[in-house]
Formats: sequence, C-alpha cells, structure tokens
Amino acid sequence: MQPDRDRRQTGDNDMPYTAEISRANPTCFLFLIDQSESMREAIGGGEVPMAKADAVADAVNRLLSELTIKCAKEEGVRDYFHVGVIGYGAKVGPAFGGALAGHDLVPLSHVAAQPARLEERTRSTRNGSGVLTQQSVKFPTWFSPVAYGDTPMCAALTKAHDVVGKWLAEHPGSFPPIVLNITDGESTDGDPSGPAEALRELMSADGNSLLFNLHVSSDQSEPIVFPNADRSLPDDYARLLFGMSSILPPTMRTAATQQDLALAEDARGFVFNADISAIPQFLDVGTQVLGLR
Amino acid sequence: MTTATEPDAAAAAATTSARTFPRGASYMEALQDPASAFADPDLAAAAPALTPLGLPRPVSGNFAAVFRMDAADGRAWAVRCFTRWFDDMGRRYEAVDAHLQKQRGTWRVGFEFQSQGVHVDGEWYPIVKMDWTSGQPLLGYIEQHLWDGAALAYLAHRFATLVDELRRAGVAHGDLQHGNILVAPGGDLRLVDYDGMFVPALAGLTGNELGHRNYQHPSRAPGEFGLHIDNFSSWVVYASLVGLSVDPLLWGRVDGGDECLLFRSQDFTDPVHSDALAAFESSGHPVLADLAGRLRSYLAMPLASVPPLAPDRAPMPVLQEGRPVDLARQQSLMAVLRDEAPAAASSPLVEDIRRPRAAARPPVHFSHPTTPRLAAGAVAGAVLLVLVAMASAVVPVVLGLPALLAVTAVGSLAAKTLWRQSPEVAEFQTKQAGHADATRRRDEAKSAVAAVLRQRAEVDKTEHEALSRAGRASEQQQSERDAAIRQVDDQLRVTLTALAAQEQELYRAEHTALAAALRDAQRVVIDEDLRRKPLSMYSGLDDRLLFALALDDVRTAADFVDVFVENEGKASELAYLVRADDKRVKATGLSAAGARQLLSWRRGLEARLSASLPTSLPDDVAGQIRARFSAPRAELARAEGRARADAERQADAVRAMPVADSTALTAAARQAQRQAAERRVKLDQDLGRAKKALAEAEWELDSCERELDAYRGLTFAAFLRGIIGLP
Repeated sequence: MQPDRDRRQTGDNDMPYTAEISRANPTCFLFLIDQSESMREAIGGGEVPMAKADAVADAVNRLLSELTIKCAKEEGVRDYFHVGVIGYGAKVGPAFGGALAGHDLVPLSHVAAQPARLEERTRSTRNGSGVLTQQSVKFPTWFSPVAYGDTPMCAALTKAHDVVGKWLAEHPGSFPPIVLNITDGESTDGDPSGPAEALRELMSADGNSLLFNLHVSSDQSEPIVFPNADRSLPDDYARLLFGMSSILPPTMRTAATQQDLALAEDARGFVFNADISAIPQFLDVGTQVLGLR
Repeated sequence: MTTATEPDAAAAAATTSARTFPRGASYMEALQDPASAFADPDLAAAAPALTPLGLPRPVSGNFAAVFRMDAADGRAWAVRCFTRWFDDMGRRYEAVDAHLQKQRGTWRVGFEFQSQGVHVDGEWYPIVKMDWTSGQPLLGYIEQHLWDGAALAYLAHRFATLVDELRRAGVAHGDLQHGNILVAPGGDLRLVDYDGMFVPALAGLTGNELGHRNYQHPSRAPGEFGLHIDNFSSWVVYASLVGLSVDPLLWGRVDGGDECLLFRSQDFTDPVHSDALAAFESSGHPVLADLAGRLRSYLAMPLASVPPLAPDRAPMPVLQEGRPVDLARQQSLMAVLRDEAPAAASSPLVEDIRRPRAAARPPVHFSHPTTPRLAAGAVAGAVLLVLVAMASAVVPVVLGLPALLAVTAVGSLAAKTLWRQSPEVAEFQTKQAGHADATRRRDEAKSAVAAVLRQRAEVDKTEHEALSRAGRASEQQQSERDAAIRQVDDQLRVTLTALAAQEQELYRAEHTALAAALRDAQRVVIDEDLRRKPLSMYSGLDDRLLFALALDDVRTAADFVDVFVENEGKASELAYLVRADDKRVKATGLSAAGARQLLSWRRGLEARLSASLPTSLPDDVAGQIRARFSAPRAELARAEGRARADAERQADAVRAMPVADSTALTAAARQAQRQAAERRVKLDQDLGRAKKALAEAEWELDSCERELDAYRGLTFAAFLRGIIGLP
C-alpha cells in the first residue's frame, strides 16, 4: 500500500479512534456473552420478570438488527462492520445459530441476510385511534439465550484475543476492534484482569482495542453507568470489572451526552448493576463510531 | 453530524433533544402492518418493499430510514421516517415545499410533509411522503459508465447546469453528495433528501446538518446556512466527474466510490498530502490540473468565498420568480370555513332552564271525627250491621244467605258512596285531573322541544352538506388542478429527458470528433518527427536496398507503417514494406527477421515520442470543432427553453383557471353557512322558549305528582278503618 493511503485510512496520526469507517476500512464488534447458570435469574427493572439471559439475548439481537438497518443502503447492507458473538458457560465458542453457526466474525451483510430465526412476536400497541391492538411482528434473531454451566471469563477473553488478533492482522488500519463483555457473575476460571489487559493491548494503527464490560444484575439497586473512578463502586468485583474496562473514546462520549448522560473525560466503558433498560444503553453507546452515512 | 461547538449550533442541538425518535428497527416493525402504521390512506393501503427475509427494506441516511411503499395501482412512494429530528423541521419542510412549488426544475421530486404520519409504539411521528423516482444512484451510474468518457463528461455538464439552476432559484441543497444524486434515464439528474435544504424563506435560520463529510469544505461551520453552502461540494462532485471522464483509472487509484467520489475529507483538511489532488495534477491533462488548482485555492478561503460552480456554456433559461401564490389550497378551505363558523353550542339560549323542585307535601288523612256526614254514615252503618246480625239469627238459612248478601251489598255500597263523597277524595280527584293535564302539557312541551331540535339538526345537516359539497368540489378541483399541473410537469420531464438524450448524443459526437482531431494532431507530430529519421539511420539496410526503397518513395521512418513477409522460411521468401497508402514495396534482400527488426525500430522511435505528443488540441482547432456543434446545441437549449416556457404557461393557465371557481365555491359555501347561522339563531330562540315551556310544564307536573303523593293514604280500607275507629 502507498503511504498516503495508509495515512488516509487511519485518520489523524496524533489522535487515536479517528479512523473513518468505510467498506474498504471496516471495524469489528465482538460480543462476549455470559451463559452461566445464574443468567436464568430474573433481571432488575421492567414490568414482566425476564431472565437475564433472555434480556441480554433480546438486546443484542435487537442491536444486530439495528446495525444492519443503519448500514442498509440502496444496493444492500454495507459491510462497515464485522460482527461476532462468543458465548461462555458450559463451553466457550461462537454463539450464532443457523447458517452462521461456527463463525467467529462475519461481515454485516451476511448477518443481515442470515438470521438464525425470524420469530413471530406479538406486541400490544395502541393504534392511531388509541385502540389497544395486538400486532404480530417479525423479529430476526441470530442467537438464542443459553444459561448452563460456570463463568469461564478468562477462556472467553483469551478466545476474543485470538479472534481480534486474527482480524487485526487483516485490517491493520481499521478503527480498533470493540469487544463488549456482558456478564452477571465472577469469573470461575481465575482472575480475568490478565487476559483482559492482553486483549486491550492488541492494536491497529488507530489505537488499542476497546474492551467494555456490562454487569447485569438481579437486584434492584441503581445501575452505575460509565463511571470514571472506582471509589464509588460497591465491592472488589465491581472494581475488578472497572479496571478491565477501556476509557470511552470521544465519539462514544458524545453519543452518551446525546442520551442525557453527563460523562467525565475518563469515563470507562463499564456499567454495573445494569437493569433491563441499561443494557441497550450500554450497547448503543459502546457501538457509536464515526459518523456513518 | 451536528456537534455543538458554536452558540447557534448549540441552540440547534438543544432543539433536537426535545423528543427521542424511534430507531430504524422500530420503524421496520411498525411498517410490517402499514394499515395501522400510516395515517395517509395511500400509504396505509400500500405494501412496503421487502428484504429477502420478508421484512420492510430500509435505506438509512443521516436523519431518516427511507422505505419504499408500493400501491396496488402501480404508484410508489419513498417514505422518510425520521430517526433524528429538529423541532423546526416541519416548518422548514413547509417553506421548502412552498418554494419548490414555484420551481419547474426537473431535479425536484414531489413530496408531502405529514406531521402525524406514522404510528410507532403508541405515538405519532412525522414522515415525508416522496414520489418514487426511477433513477440510478450516482455511484452505480459511474461504475457502469466508467469507460464511457462522453457519458461522464455529459454528466458533469448536466450537474453544473443543475447547480446553476438551483442557485438561480435561490435554493441550496445542503448535502450534495453521491447518495442524494440520482441519474434518470437519459442522463437527467434528480436530487433527493431535502432535510437540510436552504430556500430564501429560511434565510436567517441556522443549518441543521453539515452534509456528507467527504464533500465538505473544512471551514463549513455547524449551523452555517445560506445559498452558498453547496458551493464547495458542487465543485467536488464536478471535479470528480470531469476527472473520471478523462481518466477512469483514477477510480481505482484513489479507491473511488468508497463513501465518496474521488475526494475524501482528508484531501480537504490536509491538501498537501492529498493523493487525489496529486493524481489530478500529475495527469498531464490541463483541465484536471486546473480543477485541482481551483480546489486547492478554494480550500485556502472560507466556504462563503468559494465561487459557485457555473457552466461555461449552454445559456440557461431564466426561471421566473414571483408567480401568483395559491390562495385557496384544498387543505385551507375547510379550515377557513370552520374557523368562521359561529360557536352555536355555547349560545346561552339553549341552556337548560332549571327551577328548584317543589317541596314534598305532608300526607293528607281522613278527618272522620270532625265531619257530621261521616258521623251519620257511621251510625247508619252500625244500625245496618246490627240488623244483619239479628236477621241471620231469625230468618231460616235458605232465605237468610241472599238476604245477608243483599244487606251486605247495600251496606258496602253506602259505605263506598260515603267514602267517595268524602271531601278529601273529591279533592284528590280534582288533583288527579290536574295531574293528567300537566302530563299532557309536559308531553306537548317535550315534543315542541324535540321538533325544534329536529329542525336544528336539519339545518346543521344542510349546512354540513353544503360545506362538504363545496369541500369535495374544491378538493376535486384542487386534485384535478394538481393532476393537470403534474401532467404538465410530467410532459415537461419527458420532453427534457428526450432533449437531454439528444444533447448527450451531441456531446458524445463532439467528444469523438475532438478525440479524433487530437489523434490527427498527434499523428502530424509523429509523422513530422519520423520524416526527420531517414532509413539510413537504421543500421540493418544496405545502400542498394536503401536506393531501391527510395525509388519507391520510402526514404524515412515516416514512409512506411508496417512490414509484410511473403513465403516466410522458403527460398522464395520476400519482405515488403507497407506504405501509408497500403502499397507494398519490395525489400529485396531483407530477411523476415530483419523486416521485423526494422518495424520495431520504427515503433521505438514512435514510442519515444509519446511523452512529447500534445495532450490537448490547440484552442483554435478545438474551437472550430466545438463551433460545429454549437448551433445544434443552441437549438437544443432553445428547445429546452421553449419547453420550459410552455410548461410554465400551461401551469399558470391551470393555476389561473380554478382559482375563480374555487372562490365561487367558497362563496356558495359561505352563503349556505350564513343562512344556516341565521336559521340557527332563530331556532335557538325557539328552542330556548320551548325548553323554558318544557321546564315549566315539568315543574307543574312535578308539583302535581307531589300533591298526589300526599293522597296516597286515602284508600277505601283506610276509610273503613277510620269509620270503625281503628288507627
């Protein structure tokens, strides 16, 4: 490649996380999803009790759908992103179902074309005249909720390291990969700090990989959203996850501001005690990258 | 993207947070059932274009997800569902609509802003319903015509003309970029997405978007707004199109088409290191170098100083401004009428007239002890009863029973007569007759009220019919008028598209002629040079052969263009040199290999020249060629002008005609309304009187009832009990 071209793709040399995302220069989102036994318990918030595993699967599936729509253009879905879902519980591995089963990262157009299932869901909505009606809606899903086994977070982060490392070898100039880890409990295979740090050290010409952590909770305590210091955190476990989380790049901080969250400059991509409404917020902020058109 | 860094931008951003809008996925869910999602009857009855999965297929932009909706009758719309919103967007769309109504440009796509357009998760959100336009997106068109320089050059020309047309109309698009430019069949251009459009009525507001990053001047500030906001991006589009028409290889060289044409934001923020600008400058083509130079100089000045792109040829018909404004638009008619309607419901005349109800009276009793007639009756009764007792003891049983019955009957008749003649009962009967009277009067009053109400309903109905007749007729006329104007527009569009196709042909022919002339000019240079290279310069020919060739007029490298070998490899092998006039000249003694070497010597000379060949025609030569095409082109321009003027006249005629009619309609409707109002005033007075009468009758009846209630205890049994002295 010509030097100019490298420079063009990686954005401003002095500023990380400014690479422009395009079809020729995509980035990747990797979701790590805790599938341990305890994910069967109900999540805080919401009107109807819902298992944490279901709430997480719904939110991530919806985000995948949202991403495909955001990148939908006249000629089809543009591959601005490569996306993967890794589950960790009884086993650690790719969680996509259907035609994408077994794949770690797939271009977004493939995601758009091949959901595992098209679920028919019934929604009650008020129609234009204010009458409550039942509407049957098709809802694409790419993976199903699972809750079985331990919480091998170290193994999951190591797997993510492999996937991201391989991807970076092919996309050295990309906006750095983003790994979103969603869990409800402590790691059962050792201290995850080491593997987390190794993962964050992987880098593209535009900066280090980003690791964001979301802790979902069954209890009703107030979520702690994108903190910038560990002083206010309730326990060592929360401080551990905080320490594993990357600082949010400016684009994401701006996105959070638009959702009326006032964040400090060094706010981390970390949410503790997330209830049902904090999950999509975390996912939304954590996947905001430079303006796509 | 809008980021708040300046005061006005901050103000603009502040208005965005007022309301969160649904995401694309929510719209996709809602549109699975158009009938419940859309307020617009066309859209409610239409079906969304689907993805292979069978879900509504969106195309996402900066502000909106756009869905195509198809009606059963073949009509189609693009529906913009907003994912981001600015509070004054509705107002902006209205201003844009009002301004574009006055333009006849073929670039515009018909649209309608609906503030309560789509229903998502229990709430209404605005939409823009746009006519579906059959055009190819710019990137696709370029890729398909990458090797058709004439087509791309024509596109550049068309684009420059379009930009000029916009500017003259006082319009700036705000986000000129590949995604918002469609190429219609015939090469005409259409612009879509009017979210950030500037029209004169919006002067003084701030802009709500920055436009696509790969098309913007680095100095374009958030909120910057005005006629000038397209000035830089139009040069970017134009330079890219011209660049590609000259050198299609640029597309691959700078990764063209990846969210851009040939330039990216980096080329503008750091022009010193721009490989796209460098590629233009090193192309050796003066036009490209000129364009790159322009872009560089524009980058050195603020956006407001960048000159607008203007076509250097093709005189443009001046668009007329200030057409009569449509006063009686269909939507406004009914509203106007409604606003003026008297508020009859609140008239004090029809208020219920209520009175306090009469207080209940204490019950009335028989007054036996004080009444002599009653006392006499009591004595007579007692005597009778004694007689009966005595008779039944003496008279035999056979005779006794009838006698007893007769006596009892006589006694009870007497008692009943006494009861009836009691003053209380008589009083009661009078009251009862009064009650019947009051009931009758009340019923009459009731039907009088009902009659007035019926008349009033009749008046309302008549008025409503008159109004909706006028409304319908006006809507009908309006839609006929709209259809007529649409037809004029469509006709114009067809004509202009045909003219555009002709113009494109002309352009292609001119392009071909210029290319041929350039080839000829290059040929002249080559020939001149080769004529200065005698064959003797080539070491492989002996003098005898040189002499023989000279006799056949082959003396220099210019005098032959090819070699030909007969019976190669045989004893009779003979080489020829082929002259420019195709004549073969024997080269006796020259081997096949020698002949080929001679040819490659000649080609080597030619190749060495290629760097010094002219890349463009001298101005006069080019001018002469262009002049050949200027007359037919001017004719086309005149035809276009005529077509536009015709359409203008036709549209004006259509507009002028129904205005009078709709005024008449309005007058008729007003007349009906006035009559109804008068009738209503009178009826309301009648109704007031009738209700008053009814209320009085009700009151009378009520007090009658209460009085009658007091006599409820005056039964015969009570009378008898009174006679006997029981309580």
